[in-house]
Amino acid sequence: MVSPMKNEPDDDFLQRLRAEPSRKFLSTLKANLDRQTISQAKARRTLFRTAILAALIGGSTVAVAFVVLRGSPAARTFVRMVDIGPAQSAASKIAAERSGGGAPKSIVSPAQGGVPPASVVSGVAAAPPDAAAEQSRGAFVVAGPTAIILYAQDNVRRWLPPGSKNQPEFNLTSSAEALAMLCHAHLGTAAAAGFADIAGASRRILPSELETCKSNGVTRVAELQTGYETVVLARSRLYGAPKLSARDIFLALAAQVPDPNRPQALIKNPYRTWSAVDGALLEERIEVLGPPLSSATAAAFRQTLMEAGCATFPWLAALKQTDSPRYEKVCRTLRDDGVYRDRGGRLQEQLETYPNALALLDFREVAAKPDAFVAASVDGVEPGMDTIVAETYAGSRAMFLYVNTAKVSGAVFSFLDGFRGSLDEPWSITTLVAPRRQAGARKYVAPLQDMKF
Amino acid sequence: METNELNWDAVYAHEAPRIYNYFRFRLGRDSDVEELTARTFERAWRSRSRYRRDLAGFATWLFKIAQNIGTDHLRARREHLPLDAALEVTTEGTPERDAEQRSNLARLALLCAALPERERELIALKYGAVINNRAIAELTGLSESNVGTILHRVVQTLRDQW
Repeated sequence: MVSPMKNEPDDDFLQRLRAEPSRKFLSTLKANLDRQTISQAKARRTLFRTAILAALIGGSTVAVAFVVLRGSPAARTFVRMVDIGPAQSAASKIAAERSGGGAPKSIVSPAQGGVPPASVVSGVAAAPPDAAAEQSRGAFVVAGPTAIILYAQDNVRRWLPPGSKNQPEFNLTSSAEALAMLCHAHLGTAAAAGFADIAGASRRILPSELETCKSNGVTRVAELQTGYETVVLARSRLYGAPKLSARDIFLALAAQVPDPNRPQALIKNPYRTWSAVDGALLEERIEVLGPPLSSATAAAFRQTLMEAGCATFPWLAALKQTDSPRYEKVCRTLRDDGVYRDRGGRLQEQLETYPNALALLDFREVAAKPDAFVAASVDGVEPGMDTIVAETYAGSRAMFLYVNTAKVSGAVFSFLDGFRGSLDEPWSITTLVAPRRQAGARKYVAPLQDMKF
Repeated sequence: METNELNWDAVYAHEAPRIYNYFRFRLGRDSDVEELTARTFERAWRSRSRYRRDLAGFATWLFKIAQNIGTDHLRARREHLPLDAALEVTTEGTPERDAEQRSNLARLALLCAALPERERELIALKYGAVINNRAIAELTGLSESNVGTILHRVVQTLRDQW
């Protein structure tokens, strides 16, 4: 094969255009870089010293606190007042409903370290002895999609000893199946064959589903908005934040895409570069590193960003009503030709080394490492707590729990309160993001009976 | 293990003129070139402890940073294009006559203005940064033969108009 170089036309006029940078510029820049290197080394040493100091002070504090708490009987119980209002917990709301409602109620919450609550009483309450708490727990059934179930399992592990006979039962289902189980309805699928005390959903319950609940005798249902499941496409901060549209993302990663030459026909995804997807984008190879397709993050990606992009084609969006299985297949199936591949370990290094690569990540992974990753904006909206709560970022969806309040027990109270409480921790291990109690955030809990759809 | 193997002084001495000329070709002028070169190296130096030579060539890594800085810079300038265009492009004479009055670099910029973005980038990488076609392919996502073909055609076009 002939090398392209050998056939190149005379290019001396281009070669001659090169110029040497001035020595002064080169030496000044080099000096600045050397200073930067020294500053970084100093900063690292300072950070190390600070960490050692913090560890010493923190260790001493913990030791003293441990001694004090061990010596104080009152310290064995923790009492937390819960206000009725926007930030009211599901458990306290349920407690209010059970006791006739109206007056503010309190709930005994788990002590840090996992002592479970056991009873709900009026006014300020102290946690009962552990034995009583154990008796008040009972098994219950939780059904829902992956993100909810993973979080629920993690939550339960915090306060229920492994191997306890009162372990709740978890059922991995779709949102519709979980709600059907809650409402004692049968969708005809094996997954939805049983009943659930608590249903997780990636959408709000539909009025028709609520009617089904009522007609099947499940008349008291409470809603808890647990937070938001949010996914992003991120790049190494070295290379700046990409600006994509949901349509770009769908066209880049779907297994099948609309044929540009034949209306309403699909073809195997032919796109290899972002500029082929959209002429305004750079001529960069499409490379996306992500978690296994069975993961909660990948599932959320398919159902948020991919679907949002798919729905920009009106004829595909219409399939949702006319041919739902085909809609899901087209809009939610990722290509398997290597463009999307398992991210493996050392993600940060991979992204720094492969400038074109994007990673599919949980929003919190990016937020936890702002110096390493930068998330793509989608349709001009950057992912952030404000845009997530405002529900303007396409890669996010609200997650809900629905509880049959006629069947609550101490264990369910613990579960719900722990669920909500743990979501307030900024970087726990699952995919849910909970809004802080900021103004404008949707109420956490509302009785469905009072809810307007 | 990943960074100490490189002699950073030598890397700087070798790459700085290439980055500098990449920006000259990319921008078609000398102003801003030093600033963008400095920005590229400062960003790379801040992150150099994380660079892994077993995963990519240093030049590829460095030029990707330069590409992004250049793209951001040009994008920011594009917002002011009407004013810039009035100052830098539109003069009294014909385009040919204007070009004669400018430096060769400005002449190149004028000719490149008619080219697609991708082709301008290839010219800057090939003749500014003096990168071979294989490395350009890696940076741009094009195949190596495609890079050669496009460059052949573009250089011929520029040569004809020079």
